[in-house]
Amino acid sequence: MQATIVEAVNDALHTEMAADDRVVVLGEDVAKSGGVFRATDELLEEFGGDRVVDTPLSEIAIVGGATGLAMYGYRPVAEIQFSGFLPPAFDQLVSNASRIRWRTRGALNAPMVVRMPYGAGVRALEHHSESLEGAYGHIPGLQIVVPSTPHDTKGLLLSAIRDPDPVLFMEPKRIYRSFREEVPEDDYEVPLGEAAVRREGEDVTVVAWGSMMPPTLEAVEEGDVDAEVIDLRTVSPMDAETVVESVKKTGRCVVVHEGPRSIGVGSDVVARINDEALMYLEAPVERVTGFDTPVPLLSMEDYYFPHPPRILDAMERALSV
Amino acid sequence: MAERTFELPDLGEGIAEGELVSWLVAPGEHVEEDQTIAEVETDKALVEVPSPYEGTVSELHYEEGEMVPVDSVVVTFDVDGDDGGADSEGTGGSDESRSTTGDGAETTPSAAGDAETSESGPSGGDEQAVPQSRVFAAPTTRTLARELGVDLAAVVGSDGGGRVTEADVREAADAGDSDGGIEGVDSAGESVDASASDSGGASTSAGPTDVTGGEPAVTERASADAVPVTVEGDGADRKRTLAMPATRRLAEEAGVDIDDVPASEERDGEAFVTPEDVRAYLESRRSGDGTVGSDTATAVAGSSAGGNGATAGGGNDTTAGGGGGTTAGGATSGERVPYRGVRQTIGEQMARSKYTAPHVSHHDEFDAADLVAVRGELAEVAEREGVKLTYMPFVIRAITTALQEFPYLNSSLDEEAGEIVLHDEYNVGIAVATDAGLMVPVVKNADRKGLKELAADVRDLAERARNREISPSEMQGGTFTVTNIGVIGGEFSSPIINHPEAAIFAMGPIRKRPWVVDDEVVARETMRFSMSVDHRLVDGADAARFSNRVKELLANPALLLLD
Repeated sequence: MQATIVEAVNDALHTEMAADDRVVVLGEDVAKSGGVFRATDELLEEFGGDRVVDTPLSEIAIVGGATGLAMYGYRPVAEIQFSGFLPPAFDQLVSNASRIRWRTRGALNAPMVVRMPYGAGVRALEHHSESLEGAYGHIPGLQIVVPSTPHDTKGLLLSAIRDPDPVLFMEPKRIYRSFREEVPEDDYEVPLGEAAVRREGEDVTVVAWGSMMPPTLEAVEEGDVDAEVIDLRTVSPMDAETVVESVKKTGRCVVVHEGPRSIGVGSDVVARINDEALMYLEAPVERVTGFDTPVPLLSMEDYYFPHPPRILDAMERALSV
Repeated sequence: MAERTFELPDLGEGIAEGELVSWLVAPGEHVEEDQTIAEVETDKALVEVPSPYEGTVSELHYEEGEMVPVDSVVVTFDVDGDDGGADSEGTGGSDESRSTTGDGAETTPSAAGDAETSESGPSGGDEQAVPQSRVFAAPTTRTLARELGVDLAAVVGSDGGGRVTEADVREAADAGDSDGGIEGVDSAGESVDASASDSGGASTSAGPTDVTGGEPAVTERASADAVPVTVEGDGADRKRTLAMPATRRLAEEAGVDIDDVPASEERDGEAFVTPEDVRAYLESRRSGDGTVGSDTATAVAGSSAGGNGATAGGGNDTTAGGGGGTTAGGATSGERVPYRGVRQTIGEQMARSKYTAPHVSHHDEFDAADLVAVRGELAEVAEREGVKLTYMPFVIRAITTALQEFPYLNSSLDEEAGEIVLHDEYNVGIAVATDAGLMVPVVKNADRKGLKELAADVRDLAERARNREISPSEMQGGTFTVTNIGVIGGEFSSPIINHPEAAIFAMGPIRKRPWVVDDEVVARETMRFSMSVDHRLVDGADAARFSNRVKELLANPALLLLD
């Protein structure tokens, strides 16, 4: 079937809830209204109110409840309506979900997924546009998955729900519905922790993920650059090997991410290249990122996140050394 | 009157399309700015779409129930009083506006007011300055604009973000002058660029319009940094060189010191070496080099194989240097060769020996006429049996015989135990020059072997050492070492003892020299040789006595047959 990213999310939820009755969905408006983005559409009708639960307006309750359910044998998929509302539940993620395996020396684990749309570029309100995968990626025990295509979205979400440990599933809402692609109707997994090479090239490696994939690919096409484009897909744990091998081949690298520049995922990509491929570098690794400010509102939003011209500039700098 | 199209705006949250549920206006109808003209349903909600213009609907491009992609044109308006056109157009516009207001009678007063004020500001041409054609203003500002009769679309915000403030509206109302608005556009645009480049460093491409402006700046800076400084040959011995890691790796792998590579560029006032510089440097090294190196290699290999002794080079400075040349395989003067591998092992071993054992060297010469005659006779016999008999087996045989009489020459010092170990095995190392450097395989139990067996052992060991097929264990356990410098040349040397042995014997060349026989000087085959002994274990007198015994045996080779 041809599906958008958000339709792929919905399809994955239908698939896994039908296959595994331990899977429950909870969040604000996920049941009766079918979710703020229709990601949980028709789940209530198909699986009933015991498995599709509208929660109070409390992220603490949603993530905390999911953690408890997970520890007791369920496979909860919690929805946070916008990533900007996850911080209230930071404690549940850091102190409970992600460390329960460690804390109980393996006696308990938390097989749960927290889904949330993230990112700017949709003229949303404050608290709706964050791209904080770097911050969450810093939490040991928490996996951070950011799909960029409908096909990957379904496969990664199925892998995430089946994973024995907590996964933060960040959905790029800017491209939620911007394109369709063929998504198999059957059950398939895209493994966590593995990057995808979206395009092979010899001259420069460009690393991006999630909402930054379309502008990155656009920049490569526009610039007519023989770039190797890597989609991390999982920010944590990071598939550094794929990046390092590519950089060993090209000698140059540009990292593109939407989140703030400082202490961001891009810094870590650079560090891993330094660790393992320094002597292959022909040029300093370039970063194209958001700025160290909150995402601006409305009219200034387009200036915030990387657009193809900025990405192209960075590629040219990397190639000019 | 001007025609304006209206594209379905981004409805929020990345929605790419929406279903046009209902039109709230019809063609020919006059609408005000912000009046709801349509309802579009997305996955998320029913969204009311406001009109961005005041004017008349001239065409609706979609039917109710159709899916409308974001950014596609949904409505075409005829907009009143666009001052971008000629006067006649303006007049026509007002005419049409009057006629349309006739249709929508209720809107007449405000329409008239807007028609008047819209002349005061440009509603076209400013769309490039802000990302969207929408006007951003607080509700109170919009109210004020209506009260003052100011067209908000014609006012450009002064806060740099495109937001129109109440002050902007009042200013526009006071000025009634479109030029002010246009200047505002420019200055706002500039301030956006400036702030973006401040916070973003080199990434100045804040928006589509200034991308082209950003690129030349980058190019200029890059070219300013990379001042070509074609400095040939001055690279040697720089103290500091800038280069990317991959370039440094390239240099290291080629065994080149990056400080020696002439730099083609300069960055921050320092020499900057590129990969091309390294390659060019290597190329310049190669040209005019090779011949010397390969000749040397041929000479060594040839002499080694040439039969006069399967061993070449030896445990002394001169031959070690020669071995180094061979090792580098195409080394050129001026080049810096990494000190590692076999070369480093040899060096460490030699230094250890030299710094550990106080060396004393002893040189002598003997009449080798009989040795030459005997070897000549036996070599013919041996050759029929497939054995190549060189002088080396004779020397080994003489030495093992002498060693049994002078046990301190076949000893080593156990420093930890404080004991001198007098070996009861006679394992003679033979120094072999190989492409990788000096190697010393050991002929085990040389005292128990006949000349033919020694010849076969020497040949086998030397060949396998040169082919790098020899195992480390075959180079261990030596108690004394023989080296042959004669095959390459030179008369005497100061060989370095193969630690922890007590002595080393270096054969010089056998050749005809003036020699006194019966008070007459005659031309005679003689051999010169050198020895070094560890003075901790062996005194000069013992070394001389030992050497006398070796001389005696070699000068009268028949004596070798006694034992």
